[in-house]
Amino acid sequence: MNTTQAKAVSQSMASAGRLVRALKDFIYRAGIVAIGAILLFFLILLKSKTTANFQLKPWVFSYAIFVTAFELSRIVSAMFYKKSFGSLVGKTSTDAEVYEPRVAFVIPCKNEEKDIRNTVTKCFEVNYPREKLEVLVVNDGSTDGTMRILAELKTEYPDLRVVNWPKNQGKRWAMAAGFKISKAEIIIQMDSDSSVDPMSFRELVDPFQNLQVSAVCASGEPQNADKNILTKMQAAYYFMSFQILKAAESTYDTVFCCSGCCSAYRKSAVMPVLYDWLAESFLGKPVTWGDDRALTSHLLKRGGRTVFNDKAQAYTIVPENLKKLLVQQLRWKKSWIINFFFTIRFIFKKQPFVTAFYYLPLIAISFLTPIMAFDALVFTPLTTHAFPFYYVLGVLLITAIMALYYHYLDKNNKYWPYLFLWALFTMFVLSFVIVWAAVRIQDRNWGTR
Amino acid sequence: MTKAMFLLVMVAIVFAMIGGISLMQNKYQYYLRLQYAVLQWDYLKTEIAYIDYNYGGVGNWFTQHKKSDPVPLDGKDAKLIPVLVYHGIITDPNWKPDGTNISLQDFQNQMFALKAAGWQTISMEDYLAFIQNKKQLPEKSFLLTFDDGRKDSFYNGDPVLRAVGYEATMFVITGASMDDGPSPFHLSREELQQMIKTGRWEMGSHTQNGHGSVPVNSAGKWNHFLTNEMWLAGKNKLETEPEYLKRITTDLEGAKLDLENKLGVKPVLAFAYPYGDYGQDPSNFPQDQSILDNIVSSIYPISFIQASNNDYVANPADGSAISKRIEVDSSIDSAHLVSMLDNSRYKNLDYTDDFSKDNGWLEGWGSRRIDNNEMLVGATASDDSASTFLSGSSLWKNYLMSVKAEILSSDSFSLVARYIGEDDYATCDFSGDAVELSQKVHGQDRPTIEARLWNEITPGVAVSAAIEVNGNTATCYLNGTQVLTGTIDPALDRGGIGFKMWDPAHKGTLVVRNLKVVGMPSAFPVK
Repeated sequence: MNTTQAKAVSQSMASAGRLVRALKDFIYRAGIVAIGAILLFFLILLKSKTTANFQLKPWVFSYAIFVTAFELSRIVSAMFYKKSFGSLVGKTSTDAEVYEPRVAFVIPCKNEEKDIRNTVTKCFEVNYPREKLEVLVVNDGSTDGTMRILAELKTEYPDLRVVNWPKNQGKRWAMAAGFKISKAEIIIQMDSDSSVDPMSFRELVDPFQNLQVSAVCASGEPQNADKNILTKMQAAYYFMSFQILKAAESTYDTVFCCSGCCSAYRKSAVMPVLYDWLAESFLGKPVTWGDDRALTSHLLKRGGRTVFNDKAQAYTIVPENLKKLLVQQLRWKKSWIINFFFTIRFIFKKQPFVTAFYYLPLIAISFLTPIMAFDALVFTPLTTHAFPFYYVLGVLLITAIMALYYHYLDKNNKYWPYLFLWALFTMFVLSFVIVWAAVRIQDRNWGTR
Repeated sequence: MTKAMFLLVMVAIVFAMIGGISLMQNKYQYYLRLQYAVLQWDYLKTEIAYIDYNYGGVGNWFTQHKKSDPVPLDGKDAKLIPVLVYHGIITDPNWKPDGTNISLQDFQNQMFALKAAGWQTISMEDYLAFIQNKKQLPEKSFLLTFDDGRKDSFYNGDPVLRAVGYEATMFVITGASMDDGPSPFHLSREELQQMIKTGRWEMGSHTQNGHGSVPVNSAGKWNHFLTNEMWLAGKNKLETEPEYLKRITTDLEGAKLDLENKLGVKPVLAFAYPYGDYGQDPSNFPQDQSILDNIVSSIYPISFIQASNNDYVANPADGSAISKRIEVDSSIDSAHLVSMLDNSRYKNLDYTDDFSKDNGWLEGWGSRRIDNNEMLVGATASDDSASTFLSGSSLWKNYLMSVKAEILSSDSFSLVARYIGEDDYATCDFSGDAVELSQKVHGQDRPTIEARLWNEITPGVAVSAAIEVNGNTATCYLNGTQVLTGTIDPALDRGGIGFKMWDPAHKGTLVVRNLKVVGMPSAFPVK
């Protein structure tokens, strides 16, 4: 066999390999579509079994259609995400001139002696020119050895900036200080227990090439996912809420909450709203949590675009026991309720499309679901002594469609089965937390963290 | 652009969901539509079959005259109207005639033949108006009915009705048809509505849940729901008459209300007795017939039973609340059915019959044969007597019937006049040693009116015999001589002619020839 022949053979083998891969890929996609169609069929079958006829009970019928359509609309929107995100920056990103603005990490911390070293170290490891990178830690009145560790780090990284507040001022103030002090164009806000994947760091910065972009949200992933079943459930939930729900929001450049675990902001966009954000209060009391959501809202109010980049990867620590998880969820729900009163006043003017097809339905569903869930899970079973089989099955079916899309997005993410557990947990527990959140709205404590 | 695409996809999804849900929720509706679509094919097929029938084969479509070119009816009005009753129409090729149902092929042949012979269906409203003497209808009108509300009678029968332009009444067991779940056997409410919409079907009552049996004694015997007092096992007794009344009334009124409220049938005109049992069948409640008749006629203007062998097949305009129906199944071929209906029409007086063909001599008992210009009426192995009566003669009043009669291997025969039914008639009985004038009224044999010793009847010797009825007087003649005369019951105010013979040895045969019936001017008015 001469070399030409060998080359030809290896070429044909390579092309055969490509063909097999393409075929496998095609079968996989076709399988996903087929399973999706089957699930949708069963969903409709189930709805038709449980939903009363439109003429007889128009509200129940409409609610069923509405909720299902809403859930599916998230997936549909998420499917357009890549296209939308791709057109955000345009083709200039690959040009000779690399986009490298000055970037600052702002890390507020309080009593984080365990995690702070790791967080800071990770910041300096990112794939970005050191001279354009700023790391700024605000020690917000720590009473443990945090300051000592920060001093140590200062010797290791001379360009680390530490702001030391002897008295606790609150996370929001610490973040605001960071925004004020830093000279960077782009400010990355992170929780003290979060870290960003050094290799995908640039993905957090790149979208700012589009001057309308005010904030970029990274995809968060629990670092302690494998700890127990609760963290695995949260891993699935994080994947869904970032890769599907935030991606869906980002399709229309309107991410409603650039997650506190790791998001980047354009300083020039934040500064005009900084004091409004700091002064946020609700029913006469300052709001102590939900600063990420509040800041995003202020940016949206000014007409900024807020986007999600699925390729920017960040890690965070999630609650490992039920009580902490519930406290966190309660806080998030409260901040969601408070933010609703703020957002609803401007969002229709700024984002009529998103308001009509996402935000208003979301609000309707958030407040209707506890009622419907109570009726299906508590009231009807108690009055008719029947297990709400069809309701649970309906929720699991729509979750299955979510899980299918989840699996399609990332074949290697092994947590997708836990999405079902999370759905059950949401249905039986979390859908009622919003009621508790509304009742306890005036309790502005963080609870234990 | 993305927003437009998103909206497009979401609109598609919402439409798909609403469509999918309503499709599955109304899957029965869609199933019905599918069935109806299939039915369209049957309509077409049957139309073609009908054209084919009319022209005697595809080749003759353009050259032959239609068979069913309307037979001129010379403007006569019907005096008698026959009613046909069918049950199921069967398409299963392995089905064997069962005495109740009919194969689709036979049904189609019968309808095509009736149409070709000029017979036309009428509506229940017209029928009722005719019976009540409020409306004249053309001759060759008949009423077509189906019992039990069976799916197969609609799905198989409707294309035939459509092809020939007939209408029919379906007697529905409302409890079986109006219940929520569709049944594989009974037509559903939706199907009944569909039927009404075609304009070819009317609905009548066949009880609500009374088409069945109830326990009738402590031994666990069951019998017909309507005509028996129910055994109350809990109380260890039969229900009382008021309880019976309540049960029956509730059911029959319930059926009427079902038709009114669930099908919009207004007014509900007709009722058909299940099994044709209006109280004549054995029952544990002998008074049932009149009680039941009272209940039924208080709820329904007209009711239907099945005609027995001894009944005329067509109904007169006598205001009766009960009509008799000819039960048709696969044992009756289409030519026979047509002649049966043709012969059931009113026969004018004077009437002569040379027995060159059958003009509608109905067999009560025994056998009857028309051959060689004579009619043979004979006992059979199972019947020791034989009787026959003339279809279409039921309305005759005053007449003299004369005939050449010969009795073979027996010594007695009777000429029958004023035959209303097997329970009501008058006879002149001729035997070897006597002539008697007798009558049966409301099923009771009345004592012989007149008898005269006589001995001119010899087997094998033809005699000329006659019976004359005129008002309340009946007269018997033998060989041109008036033998005796007497007064008959006023209940026998009209009725047709017939023959009877009796031979305990099961061998006797009566041969009759040259029948003549001459109308008489009424001597004095009949009641």
